[in-house]
Amino acid sequence: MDRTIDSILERLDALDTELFSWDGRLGDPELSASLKRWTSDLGALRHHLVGGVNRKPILVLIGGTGTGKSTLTNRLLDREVSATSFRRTFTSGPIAFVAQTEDLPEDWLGLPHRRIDSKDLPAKGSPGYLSVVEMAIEPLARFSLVDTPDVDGDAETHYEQAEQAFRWADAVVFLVTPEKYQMTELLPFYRLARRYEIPSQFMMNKCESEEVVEDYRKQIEKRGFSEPIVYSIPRDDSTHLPPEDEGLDGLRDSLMGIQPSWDEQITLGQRNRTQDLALRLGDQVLLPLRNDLASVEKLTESLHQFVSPGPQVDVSPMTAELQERMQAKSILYLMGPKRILERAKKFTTSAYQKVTSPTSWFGKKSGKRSQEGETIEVRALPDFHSMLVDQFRIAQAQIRDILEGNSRSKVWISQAGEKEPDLWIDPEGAGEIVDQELEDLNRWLKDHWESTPRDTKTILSLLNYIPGGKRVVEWSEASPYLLVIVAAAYNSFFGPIDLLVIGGYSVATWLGEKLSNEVTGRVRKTNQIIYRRFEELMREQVEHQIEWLEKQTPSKSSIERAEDEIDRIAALLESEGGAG
Amino acid sequence: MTSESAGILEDIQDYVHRVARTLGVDPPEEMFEFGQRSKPEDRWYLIGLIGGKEVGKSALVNALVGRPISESTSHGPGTEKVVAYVHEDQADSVASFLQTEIPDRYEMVRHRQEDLNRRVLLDLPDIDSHYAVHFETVRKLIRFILFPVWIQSLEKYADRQPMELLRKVVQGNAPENFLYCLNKADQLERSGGEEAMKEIKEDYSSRIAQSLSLSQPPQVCLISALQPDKYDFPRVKAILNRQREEKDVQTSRTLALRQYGGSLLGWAKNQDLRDRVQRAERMEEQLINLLRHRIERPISEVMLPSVRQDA
Repeated sequence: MDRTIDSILERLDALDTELFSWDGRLGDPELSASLKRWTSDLGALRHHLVGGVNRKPILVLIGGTGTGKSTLTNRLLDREVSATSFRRTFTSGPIAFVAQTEDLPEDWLGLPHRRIDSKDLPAKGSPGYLSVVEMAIEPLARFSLVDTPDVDGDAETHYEQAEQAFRWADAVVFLVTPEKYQMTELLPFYRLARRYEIPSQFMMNKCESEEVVEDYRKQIEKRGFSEPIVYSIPRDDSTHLPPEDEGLDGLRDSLMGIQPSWDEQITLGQRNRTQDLALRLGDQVLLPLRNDLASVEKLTESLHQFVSPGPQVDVSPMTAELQERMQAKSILYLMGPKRILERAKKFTTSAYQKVTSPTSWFGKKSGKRSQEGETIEVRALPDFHSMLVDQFRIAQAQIRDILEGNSRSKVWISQAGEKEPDLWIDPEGAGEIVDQELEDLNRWLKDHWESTPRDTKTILSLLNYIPGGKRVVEWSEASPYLLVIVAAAYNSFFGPIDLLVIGGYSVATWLGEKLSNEVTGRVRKTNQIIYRRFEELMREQVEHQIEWLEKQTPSKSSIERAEDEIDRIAALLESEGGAG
Repeated sequence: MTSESAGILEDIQDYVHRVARTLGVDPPEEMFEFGQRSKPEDRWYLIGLIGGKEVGKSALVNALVGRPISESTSHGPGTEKVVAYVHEDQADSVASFLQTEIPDRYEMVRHRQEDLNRRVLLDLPDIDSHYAVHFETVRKLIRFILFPVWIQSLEKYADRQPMELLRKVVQGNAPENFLYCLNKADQLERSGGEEAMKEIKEDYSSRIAQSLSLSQPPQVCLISALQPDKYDFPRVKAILNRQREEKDVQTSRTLALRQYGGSLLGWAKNQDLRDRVQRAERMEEQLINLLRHRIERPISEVMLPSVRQDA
């Protein structure tokens, strides 16, 4: 066999392997269908490249509804084997008539073959497979015959099947009628028959006059067929008589005389077929995929830059009561930096008298004291759970908008549906974050309900080292206010407290912020955790999207490999054929 | 058409155009013009014979009229000009209408039959001709033809292209105004007899019903233009050769208007306005967030404090 053909077949095999890995990796169903059709047509190309000297030519009938393909089949074979009817678009699938099944290559047409029993004749055909009728009769010793569905009817699959048969055909018979011989649907078939050098015959059925046949003949000639013969069959009741060798018998003889031709060298027809198929892959599949890759890149970038609205969660209402309790016991809060200064000055004189009756202070303030053993009541919080779930949902909708803003991903996302349950994280997860953190906070609240504020604890332990300090500590356990007064009162006697309280103004401020605000600190911590976890969840969602996007096309390297093969095939076609 | 219904249709058309403008898409093709262009004194209505090559439109027109007014051709370009068969009182007004719509592509054939003085019968070029101008002519006139006669032949009734055109035409008219004919019945009778004729009528009828989503299969008249007394031709003659009353024409116009209005609203509904508004709102939010995050925060939390420090 011709080296060129060999090499081309090799490259086609490599290409086929690469494309096979793309199955299921195309997010666009139309692109997927395109690829499927192309792969099927690759089979047809192989059939024409491999060929074989002894192969019986396979003849395919092509025509519109009602042009008489099935009737012609029956007449050529002299038997009622193809189903005919007045109802149009009756033949629903391709039907092959062969002398023996071995006459058909196994993969001919790229569809499964189904043998039709003689008791099921006449055959109607069915989309999705090739019906095969085995009959050991004369015309089929010279050729195999394939009846096809119409190319212009309203049944959706018919045109595709006729076109598919045309691609695999070794020879073609075009059928028309006076009503339909000018239809545009046949024009692409004529063009390809010329381009691929497919032996073609023309027949007009239901003829009524010679002029119409002649008009058709002229039109065919204009399409580039040299000196074509138009065979004709008159309408049943017409008086039209076709010339001697141009009726049904003439056609039959002509078909019987078709010689299977086989060339060692690659022919022009084969070159054109190969070139067309290669170009088609580039145009209809590879180029769109390149665009898809670009879309994926752009979208990935947009997603990385996506900023979700932060959760507006502040849990401080939950801790408000504890905060009050703490403040009630916190020495520094009660004193406040300024008050420390003032009182220190005021009480040097008056505190000496008032301090003799501490109970007066005790009693005065007792109403304000909260009781022990009270259950902790958390004030009504805003429903943070729902808030976060909603915010997450909104963010998801915004991500969806980004994806739908691009025409390609819009197609992919509309296909996603049930196939991708993991594409969208359950927004309830956001609500759970709140639930968990609030539970945590609650525990902390319970633990700290009875505790003394840190600043007070620190000062109390400090006081233990001061003479008389122990007494002060005892009293302050009864009332923190007392401690304040005592501390202020003692300033005139005890320098260190004086220093601590007055001179340590900045220390007091520091203590106030760092120690007595442990509740605020804890609140801030919870808020931050919630914010952080929400953001993490958001990032997870975006990662999901990006992963999904990358699965919508084959990898860049795979596409490049396919493009390489196409280039190599183009190079082979340009070079001269023959032993190199 | 009453002025009220005309007003409603105008409102609908306005709305549809506004939607199209806002979204930046093309509005749907205008299909309804029955009576809108004609002046008040023109009380004629149009019956148009629509069909493909060789189905026998011209033979049918000749048979309806009773004499050959349109040339029946077997091959070649076929009927090229619109042939209008009209009472001489209306001829001028019809001619000026045709001149406006399809200049120089029509022929007038006048008659004096008083009982058909408001009917205008049109033989149209083939809808499947190679010549693009033929299809254009038909397309231009379709919106004015209140009573389309859809003609097919035994061979072509299942073709895809005519069915697609029919789908479009139906959107601007009402199914009740259509008459479906299947020509060349004589051939069918010869080869298949009564049974075949019945089968084909049912087949065609169900295909139309399926393609147009009709709740009931429509009536199909099986005729032979060569034998105007046989098959369903007498019925066709009775329908077409009897002048319709003013009020019946009015009713037909209203029905057509309703169908067209419905098609327009259907188009508007398909534009998913609410969805788009929601999406626009979300995008606005997203934009505000981005601004806050990217611009406001860096300024207020980083820039300003550092400026304050330096100051």
